[in-house]
Amino acid sequence: MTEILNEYAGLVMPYLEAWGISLCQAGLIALVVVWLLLYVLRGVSFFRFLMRWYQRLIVVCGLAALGFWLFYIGREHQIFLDNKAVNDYKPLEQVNVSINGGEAAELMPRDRDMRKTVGPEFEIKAEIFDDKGGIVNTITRRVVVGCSKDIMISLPILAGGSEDFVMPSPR
Amino acid sequence: MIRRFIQNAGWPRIIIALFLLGLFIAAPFVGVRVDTSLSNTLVRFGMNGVMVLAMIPMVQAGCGLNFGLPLGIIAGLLGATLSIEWNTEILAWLSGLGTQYKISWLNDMFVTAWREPLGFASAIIIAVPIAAILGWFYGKLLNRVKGDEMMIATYVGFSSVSFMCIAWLLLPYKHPTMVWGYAGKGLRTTISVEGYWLHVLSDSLALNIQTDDIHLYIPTGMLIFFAVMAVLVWIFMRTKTGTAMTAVGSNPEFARASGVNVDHMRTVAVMMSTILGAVGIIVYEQSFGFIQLYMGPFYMALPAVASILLGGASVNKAGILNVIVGTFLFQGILTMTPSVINSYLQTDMSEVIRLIVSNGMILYALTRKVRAGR
Amino acid sequence: MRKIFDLVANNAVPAVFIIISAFAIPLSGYSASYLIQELLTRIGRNSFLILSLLIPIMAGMGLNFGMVLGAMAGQIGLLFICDWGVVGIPGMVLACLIGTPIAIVLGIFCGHVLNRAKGREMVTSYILGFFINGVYQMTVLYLMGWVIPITNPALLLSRGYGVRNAVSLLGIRGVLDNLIPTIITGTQGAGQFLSVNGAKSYILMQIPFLEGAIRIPLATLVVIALFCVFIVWFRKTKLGQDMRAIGQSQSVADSSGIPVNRTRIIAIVISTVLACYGQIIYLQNMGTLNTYNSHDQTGMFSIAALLIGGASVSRATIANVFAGVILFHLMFIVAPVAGKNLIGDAQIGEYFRVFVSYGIIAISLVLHAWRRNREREAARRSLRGNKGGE
Repeated sequence: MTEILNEYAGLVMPYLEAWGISLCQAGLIALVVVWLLLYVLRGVSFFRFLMRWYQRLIVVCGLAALGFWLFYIGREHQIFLDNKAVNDYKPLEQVNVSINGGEAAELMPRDRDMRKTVGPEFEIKAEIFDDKGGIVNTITRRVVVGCSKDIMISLPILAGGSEDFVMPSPR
Repeated sequence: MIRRFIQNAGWPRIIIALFLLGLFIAAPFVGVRVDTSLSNTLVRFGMNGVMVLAMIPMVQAGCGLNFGLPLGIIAGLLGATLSIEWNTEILAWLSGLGTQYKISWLNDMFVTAWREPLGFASAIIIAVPIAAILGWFYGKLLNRVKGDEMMIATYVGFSSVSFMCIAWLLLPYKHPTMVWGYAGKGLRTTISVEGYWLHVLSDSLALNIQTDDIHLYIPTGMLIFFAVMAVLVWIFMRTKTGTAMTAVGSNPEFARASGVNVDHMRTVAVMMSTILGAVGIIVYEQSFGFIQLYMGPFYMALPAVASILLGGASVNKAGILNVIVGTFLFQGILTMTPSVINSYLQTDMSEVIRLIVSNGMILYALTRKVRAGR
Repeated sequence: MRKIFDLVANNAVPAVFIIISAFAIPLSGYSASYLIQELLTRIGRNSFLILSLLIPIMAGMGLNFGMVLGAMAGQIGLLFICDWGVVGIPGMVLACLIGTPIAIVLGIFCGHVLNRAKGREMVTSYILGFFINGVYQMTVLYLMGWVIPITNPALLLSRGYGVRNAVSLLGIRGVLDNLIPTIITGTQGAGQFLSVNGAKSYILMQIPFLEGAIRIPLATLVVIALFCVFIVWFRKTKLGQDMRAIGQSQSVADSSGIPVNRTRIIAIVISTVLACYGQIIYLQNMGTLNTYNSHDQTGMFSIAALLIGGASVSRATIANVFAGVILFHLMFIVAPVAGKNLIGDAQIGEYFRVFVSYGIIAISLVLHAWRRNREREAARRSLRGNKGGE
């Protein structure tokens, strides 16, 4: 749950920071703006607004939160699997990658493949082979995509043991 | 004064008229020729005028807007296709008539020289009785459903068009220019009238100036034809029958009390509307160059309805002036928006604008408070 | 005599359709399992849309041709989830969530317009559908991707703004239909699992003479059943009673203190919102969204189906809805093939279907108006007669 909240904050915070206001201030401003609108349109006093409209406000906020949540859990992501040299990491001889236990992708050096997943996080399982076809290593990780659309996973970095294997989508 | 004018004209009409004016003013700045646009508008005006005219009798007789115009159009299409199917026979019959009754001018030479106008006339002559019969039934039907005419008219139009879709496939037409080549039966979706009566009205007496400075084309013949039809309708509405019709429309109870047969008057009005619709589509086709069958006439009622409303008519009152102003405004917008807006925005918004303007206009007319007495 | 007339007038349409189907089914040569499968799919696909028509009829507003407004709202929701790449059931629910406020706003607008055009609601809502269609096309064709952010290049036209004509809804295709994979089969015993297209399906029951397996969109049917329960419940609420009172007589309802205009608006809003959900269910079954045409036929086909089920402009029940779906779509399935086998031209069956849809609406409207005028005439006559007797 906290993760989800953090995600929401992550979506909104950059804008707030850009305007130089805190989350609390933003909420108050939104409230006052809505009231002003109603005051101009219908002459609703602030007290009545709080009493009569807060229920609706809560419902609307709840629906918006539900929308965000659906967006969060239902979003389809393209996961690009990349077996190219990055910085000091050399491409792997052969690596079979499956995501959430799905059909495995077989990647040779300089290969790139794509798999689709649904939801904020997924499990990646990489079986790394040597040039003779024997399994050297099997790595299983959970990756959090969050609300971003597509990501790329650099397999050499993953095999190298670093945690910075998530990269922006090539498109 | 201005406020009264706005009240009389209604704000949608003013907005649309100003919009059209703006388009004409803007046209030269985006490289669209005003004279070409004006010529196109006039051509479209002539093409659609008679069909818009078909709204008047029904509106005046209190039957509401004629959404059932496709019924008249179908009669016109039957007339048009039959005139092509029987073209040679009709011409041969005419010259035969001349020989038989010793009419010296009605000979082969005359018939050959006048074959196009004769073909056009034959299309109208065939279409009118069909339209009259269809209109009679249609009128009887509408008399039974007073109060719901418009909705039922819409669906009578739709179902007759879709019924004719089957008929066009099955009717025993034989003429090679009209039926599908490979099957040898079933009419084509579009039939060219070239060689029969293409532009017979448009090009007769037409004013065509095409120089470097001026590109002007005025389809005088078509406009005269429209004027004649308009005058006929105008005169008719002032005859005893016509005034009785108007009385039926404005106050049926009063009309009945003063001895007018309400149902009869309504039937006559519907028949007239249907006949005008039939003639209208033939005029449209001779200028357009093609007969559009199958789903072609499906939505043709909406532009006509929108035109007359744009001209200031209401659901229960319409006159010739409404037709002229409305058709000009509506067709002006249809001509100007594609050319002007396209050259400005590089996109074709005309279809969307047509949808919004025509249906917005109908909606406006439908939601206005109607005079008491209906 | 009158009773016989009424009986015939009330049930003529379904009866005619049963007769047509009885002739057309053997002509088409389809197997029973194919027909049942198709019918089940179409019941799941269309019932919700048709059910959304019931509430305005209850409120005496006639057939709500304005339901296409809701359909458009649903499509806008679907376009957004396609752009964002939200799939599965969450995607569908999110589309509903986005469509709802749009449908409510359109419904309020529609309700106000119809209140200004009392007595000719149907033709007005019909034209309103066209008008809003223009606004919808403007939004989708020019504003989306320009003012309204759409980023997915698969959705946009090559010019950079405006949505493509055909949008693939692969992400939510059949998610509701296949949520609970269930089949009816003729071969295996009930209570077992069977693998159909890679998915494990629960065998609901077994019918001996059936060949092959019939997939049942169980979740969709459950949603539809819940909706039916909602309508039955809604009739009994205060609001539902008010609507029925208004349907009986506006002036009586008004004098008994029911806010007529407001209640009518609510009826239209409910109908529009439900049509929005209906369109989303419909499109999740179809799997492709024809951005500019999908909603066009929605209103016409739904209304035709309802009328074929024996409903009239002023009276419609849930039974009419299902009878209508089955009869209308039975004809939908068999007409082209029957036409082809009978005359040798599938096109004729196609046109026949369209003709029947429009014709049935026309006939129902005529019958309704005719009967109403006769009743009015009879009432007037009896009034005069009484006066004469006094």
